[in-house]
Parts: sequence; structure tokens; C-alpha cells
Amino acid sequence: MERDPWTAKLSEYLDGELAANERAAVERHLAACPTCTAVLAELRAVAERARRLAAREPATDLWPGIARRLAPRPAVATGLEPRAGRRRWSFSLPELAAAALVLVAASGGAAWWLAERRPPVARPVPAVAPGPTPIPAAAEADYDRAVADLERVLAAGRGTLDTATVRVLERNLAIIDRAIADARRALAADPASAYLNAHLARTLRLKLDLLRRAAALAARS
Amino acid sequence: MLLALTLTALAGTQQIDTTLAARQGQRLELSAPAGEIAVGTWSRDAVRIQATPSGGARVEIDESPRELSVRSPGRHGRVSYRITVPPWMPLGLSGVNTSITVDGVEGPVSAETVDGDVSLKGGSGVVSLRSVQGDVSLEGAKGRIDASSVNSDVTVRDVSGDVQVQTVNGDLRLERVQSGNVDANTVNGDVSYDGAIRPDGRYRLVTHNGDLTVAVPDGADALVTVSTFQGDFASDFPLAFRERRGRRMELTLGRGTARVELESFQGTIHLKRAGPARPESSESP
Repeated sequence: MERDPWTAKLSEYLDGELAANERAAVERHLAACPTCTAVLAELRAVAERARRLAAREPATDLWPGIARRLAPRPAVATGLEPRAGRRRWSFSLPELAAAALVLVAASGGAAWWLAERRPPVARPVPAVAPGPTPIPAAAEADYDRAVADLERVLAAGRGTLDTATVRVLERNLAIIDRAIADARRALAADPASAYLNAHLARTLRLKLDLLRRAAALAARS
Repeated sequence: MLLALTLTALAGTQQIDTTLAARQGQRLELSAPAGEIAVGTWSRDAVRIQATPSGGARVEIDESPRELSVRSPGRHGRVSYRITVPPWMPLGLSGVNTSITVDGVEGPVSAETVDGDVSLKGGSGVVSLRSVQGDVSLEGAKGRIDASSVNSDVTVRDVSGDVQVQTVNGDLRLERVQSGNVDANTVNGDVSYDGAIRPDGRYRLVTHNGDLTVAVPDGADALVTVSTFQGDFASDFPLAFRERRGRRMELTLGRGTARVELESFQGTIHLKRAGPARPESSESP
């Protein structure tokens, strides 16, 4: 299969990451290439949905909840010693996982990097760990929409991928789906588990990552 | 201003062997839809391109002050590339049905293929290796490391810097890693880690359906969090948990300053001492 160097640049073009001369070159090419124009339109549609998700999610119910839970709380009698002064990443709250899930669904690798590799705060953990809550239904709905978008892009470009590659991608998506089903079943039995909530969110993110990658492969093949 | 140089090799009849001057700051971009890419180094500030096309493949070379671009346009044929570059030269290598091998470089490397192995010795700065259905291996890199496959294994050894490794259906092996920031995630495979646990480090190792083994060096100061649903936990260390709630346990080693998060949904998590040791105890969470 031929890898078109122009389609490979479309994502950067869309993100405004190209130098001025590269941007001009892409625009000249777009003017003459209906295929790349169509691919760009698909990417733009996904990005637009992503922007709507990103704009909506942190502004509504997730971040205030996260912030509340991350704020230091007075110690109460629990039998656990205070941990003041010890540094700890705030990483596994279900809300944070859900926020990361939505963000990665929304805006791709950069959001993943921010959510996953650079947690927004690092501060002493509260004396009482906040009670875990399930991933909000709204976040899962956003996830479902993002998956549907990516599956649509992938389906449109499926014919351009090698059949062996398609089989591998499908097999691995099925592996992830089984893991998601495992996590959901476990959560049904133990909905308060912070680990299971975080695990589910992480596995959902992995599916989005793979779908995004598959869609990119299809677009440029 | 772009200086374009195009060399065309006719199918099966002509090999390319050309050497071009390399300017500091110039990057090599090489794209080969099918075939092999092998990159080595020499001490000259020049790039030698040896290409053997077959099956109707062509080779095009474009040169600008910022980039030396080598590509094989068209859907037919294969090209076997042997490229020699100065060690400092950043590389961007890509393919589809292509294997990629790089040895001895000292700069940033991006290598991506769909069906083929990716192997790199060396590299620094941003190092990104990706394959869909091929093994990915990395040795001796320094910097921000991102190595991933989908349907195969990922191995990194003797690396330093931020390390992120991922696959879906394969094992992750991290050996002799010097890092304060490690993130390893697979769904259907084992994870092993043998490397530094820095006092301010953060290490997250995750599998869904596989075993997870971490070799902890002597004197490590870490708060180890072990999470599983249906798996087991084995430890070479005395089980003095500071907290245990449900399927999540915390174990403090030394001053407990580093964060080590170990998760396996349904496999065995083994915390072992670096070097040969026998488990002192085991427990199912």
C-alpha cells in the first residue's frame, strides 16, 4: 500500500502544528486533491465533536467534583495515621479517570499525555480517601459517541487496509472488548471499587487509542 | 527554497547507491511501504542511501535544508534500504509491510510500521517506536521513550528517561531501566520490570490478563499499591501492609516515597527482590 505523505500531514495541519511553508504546501495540495479533502473533512468532523466534548466536560460536573475530592480534608477518626507531608499523585479517583477518558476521547494524544502522564495536581493525600463512585453515565455516553465516530471513520477506510491488518485490528479490539466486559461484570459485583472503576476507564481509553490509530492507518493507506 | 533531487530506479534493474552531504539540523524522513529499512551510522556528515527496489518499486529523494526525504511512491513492489547517517541526525522512518532496524544513532527517532518488527539501539530525546503486528525492541535510548505494539511484544532495556510502553496482545519487558516515570500497559500479556525505583519516581505497570513481575532493588523507598480482581499476589518481602481494602493493598518499603502501582485483573503480581530470590510468602487479595 502507498502511504500518501499528504494524508499523514493532515492531522498536524488540522491541529495548526505545521510551519507556515508546510501549511501552504498542504493547502496547495488540498486544492488539487479531492481524496485528501475528503479525509480532512472526516478528521474535521471528529475533531469538532471532540472540541464539543472537551468544552462541555470539564465545565460541568467533573472538574468541580475532582477538585472537591482533591482538596485536603480534616482528619477524622479512622485508625489510619495522617499522611500529611508525604507526596502522592492523585491518580485513581473515578472522576479523574472519567475525565481522562472523556478528554482522550475528545482531543487525542495531547490530552492523554496531560491526563495520564502529568496528573493535574500533586499534593498530600487526604487523611480519608474519598469514597469511590462509578464513572458518570455522561462520560460513558461521550465515550460511546467517540467510539462510534472512530468506528465510522475506520469503516469508511477499511477497504484501503490490508486484510491481514484488518483481522489483527479486529482481533485486538475483541480482546479489549472482552477486558471491558470483564471489568463491567466485576464492577457490577463491586461498584464501589476504585481500582475497578479506574481499570475500566483505562481499558476504555485503550480501545479509543486503538480505534484512533486504526482510523489513522485507514486514512493514510 | 526546496532543492529537489529525484532518482528513479527501474524495477529490478537498478540499484541506488548515492551519498549526500548532511547539514546540522537536517532530518532524514524515509518512507517505504514494503521492504526493509536498516539504518547504521558513520563518522561522516553525510548520508549514504543504498536502495534495492524490486517488483516495480521506485525511489525518490528530495532534499531541503531541513529535511532529506527518501520515499517509495506507488503501491507495488518492495525496497530494501540500507542507510548510513551521521549519529546526530534525527530520523523519521515509516512503512507498512516493512521491518525497521536502527543501530547506533544518538538523536531523536520516530519509527512506525504496520506489519513488521521495529528495533532500535541508541537514540535520545523523543524516541517513538510503533508497530501493529510486529515486535518492538529498544536498547540504550535516553529521553522520552514511547514504544508500542498492538499484537506483539515490546522490550526495552538499558534505557533512561520517561518510559511509556504499551501493547494489547503481547508481553512488556522492561530491563535495566533507569527512570523516575514508567508507564506500562497491556491487556493480554505479562509485564516484567527490572530497574531503578527512584525515591521521587512513579511507576505504573498494568495488565488485564497476565502476570506482572517487579524486581525491587535493595534500599528502595516506595509505597507499592497492588490491585487485582481475581489474581494473586506473591512477595519476596514480608507482608506488612499499611492498608488493605478489598482487592487493593498497599505495602511500604523503606520511607515509601516512590509510587509503584501494580495492577493485574486476573494474573499473579509478584514483587521480588532484584536478583535471584525465593518468595517468602504469598497471599490472595
